[in-house]
Amino acid sequence: MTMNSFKNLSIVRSVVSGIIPILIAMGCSTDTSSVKPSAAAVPTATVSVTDRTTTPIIPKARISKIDRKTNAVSTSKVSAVATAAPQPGEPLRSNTVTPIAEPADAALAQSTPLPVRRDLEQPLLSDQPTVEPVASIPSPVPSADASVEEPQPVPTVQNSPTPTATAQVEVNSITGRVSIDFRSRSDPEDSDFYKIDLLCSNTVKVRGLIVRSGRKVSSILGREQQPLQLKYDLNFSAINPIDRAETKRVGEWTGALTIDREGRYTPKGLIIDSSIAGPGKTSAFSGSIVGKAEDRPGFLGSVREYTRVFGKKRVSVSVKKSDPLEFKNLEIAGGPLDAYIPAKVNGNLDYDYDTGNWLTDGIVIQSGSRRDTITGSIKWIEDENRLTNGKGTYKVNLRYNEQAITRAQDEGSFFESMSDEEAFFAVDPAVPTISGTISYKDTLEPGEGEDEPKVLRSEVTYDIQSNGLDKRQMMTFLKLWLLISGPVNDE
Amino acid sequence: MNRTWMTVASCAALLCVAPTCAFAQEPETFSESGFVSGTMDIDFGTRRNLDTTGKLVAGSPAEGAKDTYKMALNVAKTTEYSGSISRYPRLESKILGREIQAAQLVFDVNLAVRNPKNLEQKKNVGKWVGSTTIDKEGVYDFGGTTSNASQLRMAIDAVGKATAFSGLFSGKVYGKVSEEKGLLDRKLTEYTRLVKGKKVTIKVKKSDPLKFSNLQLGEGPAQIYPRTIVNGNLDYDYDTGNWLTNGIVFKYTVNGVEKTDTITGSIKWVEDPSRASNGKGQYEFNLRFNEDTSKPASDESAAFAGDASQSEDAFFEVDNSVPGITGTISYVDTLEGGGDDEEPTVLASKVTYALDANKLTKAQAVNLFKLLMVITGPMNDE
Repeated sequence: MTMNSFKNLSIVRSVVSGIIPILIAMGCSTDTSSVKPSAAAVPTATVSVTDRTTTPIIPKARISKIDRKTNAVSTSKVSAVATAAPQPGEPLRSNTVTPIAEPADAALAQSTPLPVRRDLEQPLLSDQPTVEPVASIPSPVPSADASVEEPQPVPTVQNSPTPTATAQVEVNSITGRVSIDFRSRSDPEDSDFYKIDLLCSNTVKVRGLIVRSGRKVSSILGREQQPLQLKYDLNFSAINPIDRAETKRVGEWTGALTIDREGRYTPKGLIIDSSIAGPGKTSAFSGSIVGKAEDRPGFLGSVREYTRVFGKKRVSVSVKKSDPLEFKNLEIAGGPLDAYIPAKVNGNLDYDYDTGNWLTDGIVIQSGSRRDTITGSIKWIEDENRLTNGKGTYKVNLRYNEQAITRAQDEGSFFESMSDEEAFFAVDPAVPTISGTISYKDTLEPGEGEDEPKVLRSEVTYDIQSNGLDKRQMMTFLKLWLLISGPVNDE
Repeated sequence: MNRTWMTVASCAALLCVAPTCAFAQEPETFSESGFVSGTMDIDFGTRRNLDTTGKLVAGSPAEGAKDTYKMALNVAKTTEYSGSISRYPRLESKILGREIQAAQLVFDVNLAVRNPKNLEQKKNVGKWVGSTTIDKEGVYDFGGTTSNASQLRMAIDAVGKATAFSGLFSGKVYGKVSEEKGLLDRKLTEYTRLVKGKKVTIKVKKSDPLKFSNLQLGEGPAQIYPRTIVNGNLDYDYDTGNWLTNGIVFKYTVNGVEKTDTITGSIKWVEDPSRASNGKGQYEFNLRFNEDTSKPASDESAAFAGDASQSEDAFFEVDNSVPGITGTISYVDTLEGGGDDEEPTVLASKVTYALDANKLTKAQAVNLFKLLMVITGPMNDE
């Protein structure tokens, strides 16, 4: 190499070394006055306290907070949960419907009062355009456990209040509210009303009513006159990805799910009609869900009685070992948009009274050519003051295709030792997850003696995020969750 | 040429050594005080809350009365157990002797782990829950290897990179049967251990056995604490209050390698001289792991060792050259009654665990801890 060429090389090097920081700075710009950042471009919170130097390409898990300022739970359970990058920080409001509340007591106090019985002469929901503030990236949340290191804060994005042409933020989540009025617990002749106001993946609103009516039997022969059923009357509204201020009704979910005495849930005319807004089709639910068989005290056959203690609870009359939910070729209807194709579900989701978990050995969802197996848990955590404040939370920690991903390891896995405690503190970004919380604030009626209190009403706040799942998967999960609204919202 | 061959030879050596090292990687051993530490508060509700209905056998606890063992314990630095074990007695009707209430042990213990890389970090990872029945013969039946709904298990959540799993307990423990009054005295039972290379034997006249029959200790809280099968005995000597064993065998697999630990030794009960007033006493642990295979090779001096090793005291000698667990579990009991020839009744106990590990792996310590919790009833009785 000649002296001149060496000099030239030095010049090139110094130019390049000067340009590189400029290029990096441009790539990481937080100036979004005109363009909303995509999830990938936004620096995300540090993944785990053991790996603070990694900057992920996709949104990675962060240590979840449990002690939201309103929901200090009795156990400091901290788990790494997956989250997409930005979360909607402001409630999505409409002019006529109950706003989707923030997960805070202040918001709960502002909720519309019950009852939520639908006025049949007027549509429950309005299709009027909604003005929705732009989601801002949340500030860092405090850790539930003081011993856990804080994740690095997510930079705050300054957005204009009413953007005109914006690129949609790719957020896959389920947020919003469900208000439940358990009227049948005060009057057995009445029904339970589940008022739904949810937003799926920031693109489709699901609003309406699910009504659970009790079984009616004749007084003498005990013949069923009206089945136990869940009646669905839900509307889907799509949010215009170009102009989020605009929404349009695109489908409705109607029909019923009857539950027989053996605990079998069967769709009866349960459909999603996607033809509301234009050419579309009707897709039907089919198959079944098998839950707990009904107790029949006094009928032929014995009533099982055990004496069991579960933690602080005493169950002296009947044993509830586990409450099963088995999905048997359950066909989840497609819609309301073409992208949301039907899915078939098999597997189980059982409630374990000992641990307070909904557990699954694997829920298999076949949707088109895609097959997902869900494992993990949904854990019920009661606030230590639940008897007075009525609070409790489901902590959702579901993993998609975990076994398959774990099996597909490279040669290094053969040299790895068994997992020690460190594994609980690590995060595996390769495993798609659904995580977050479903928070309850229940209105309780004290029980007699040592009986458990009765829940008369529930205000439920959804804050569930996904990592590595697309909108179709999130919508399928939401539909499945709404199908089992009864058991998952019971005590 | 020489260089080439040397390079090839060293590469070959590396390839041979490295994977072998990985596959046969032995778990780390620890010699630390407080390897099992914490407290347990025991409330003997069955001794305070007696039946007043007259429907039960005289002197029975009331229906629903229970003994509660409330714990806050740490094991092997990185696992924590908090919660309670409830023990329900068997109750029989006064006249027909019909079972009114089955005896059972119910677990409700929260499991937490600390990050070995940073002990300041702690996470709740699941629960030790479920129950086991105890029949009238004193047999603890933990169930079979396929789960039933409330089988004792470590239910571990999916947290971080760790997958969820359920570590089932199964098998049986044959415990103390009812007093067999009027029968001939039992034969003497011998217990043997190795002290400084020599066998020491003691004989116990009246002992109550706890026999472990394919008792499976469930996996958890982390995968490095594997499913373990336990066989052997731990016997209670009525005369001294000591627990003695001729061998409790633990079998488990770590990193694909089968392991067998045999525990020998004693748990000696030592009462405070003023126990009648201060309620104090303690168990002194002297359990050795794999004493037969762990003893150092003896040299010529062993041939000249005196016969002092044959004394009963020698049986309880601590030998730190052998992997084991020593230390104390101390009691401050709340006593009631007693006097003359009658023993006082313990109504409550405040228990402090301070057990030290000598050359033990974490799995060994946790295995022993799980076993102690499973037999917490008889261990903490008088």
